[in-house]
Amino acid sequence: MGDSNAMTERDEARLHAYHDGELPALARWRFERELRRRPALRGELVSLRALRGALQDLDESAAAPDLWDAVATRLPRSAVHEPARERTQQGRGAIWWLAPIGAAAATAAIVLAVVYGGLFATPAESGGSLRWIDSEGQSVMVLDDDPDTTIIWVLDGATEGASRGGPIDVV
Amino acid sequence: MTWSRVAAGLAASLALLGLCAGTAFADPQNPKGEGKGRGKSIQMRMMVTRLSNDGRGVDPKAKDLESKLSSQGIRFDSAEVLQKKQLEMGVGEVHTIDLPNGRKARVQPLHQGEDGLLMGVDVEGSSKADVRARPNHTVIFSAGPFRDGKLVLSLEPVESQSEPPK
Repeated sequence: MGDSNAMTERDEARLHAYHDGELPALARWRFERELRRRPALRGELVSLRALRGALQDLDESAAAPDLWDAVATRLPRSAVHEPARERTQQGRGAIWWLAPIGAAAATAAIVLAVVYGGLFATPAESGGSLRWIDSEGQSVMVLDDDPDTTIIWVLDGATEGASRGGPIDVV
Repeated sequence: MTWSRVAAGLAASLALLGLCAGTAFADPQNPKGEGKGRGKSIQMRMMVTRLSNDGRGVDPKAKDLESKLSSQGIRFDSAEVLQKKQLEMGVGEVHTIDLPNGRKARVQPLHQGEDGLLMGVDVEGSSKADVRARPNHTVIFSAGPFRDGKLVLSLEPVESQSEPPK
């Protein structure tokens, strides 16, 4: 009788059959008793299981399954296919082209409002308004208390400048 | 209501708003936008006056100016009108005024709208300003010293008249 630990072709065949669940009950019981007695056989079984696990992992990572079918079967029918909902979505698609036109029209409206000066301008009670001034560093007064008059008065010289806040003598 | 329905409704509302705003802000008196270019002339009264305290009194042509200035606390006893004319200009056109003190003033109508005439004014050595003025609103610029006094430049847009048919 040879080394009981040595793997024979018969051992290998029974090992694969056991691993795949193909052995009848009595043969499986006898094989399991033999596994307890033969460490080499147990090692082969462990190796076989590890190899099968690695192959499964590789297979799962190589091709991600499309889960939609599995998910769709669990969803309510109305959520998966509902003709009315599809029609609504088609309707949305039909009017969606209005959005850019609406945006363009709104932009044009704002431009028109700004060009014609009415939308963002504060209604002026007086007849005039100063929009911008540069007095080249000189002291300047803007007097527009009178609704019919706007006075832009640059103070020439120290005398005129000294009278700021009160009546101004022109010379 | 879903977001896409809200967006579609908003877009339609904006489109309607655009049409309404375009109609509302369009000048009903000027549907062709005349006056935006150089085609329509703009009338403006221009006056250059020397203010002083030399006791000569106020020129009758400067009575209104004197009233406007004195009401704002600007004191003088003499006002002499040196130039007075009505300018006729187009939008964008620059009119140069030679002031008696050697300086120049440049006036450029920038935009004529319902709320008046926006004009750019550059008085050499004094100030540069963009001012909007309705018709008959006077804009007064000090324009530097002159012969022991001071020059002022007055600009006053004139109400536009309908042009006679040519």
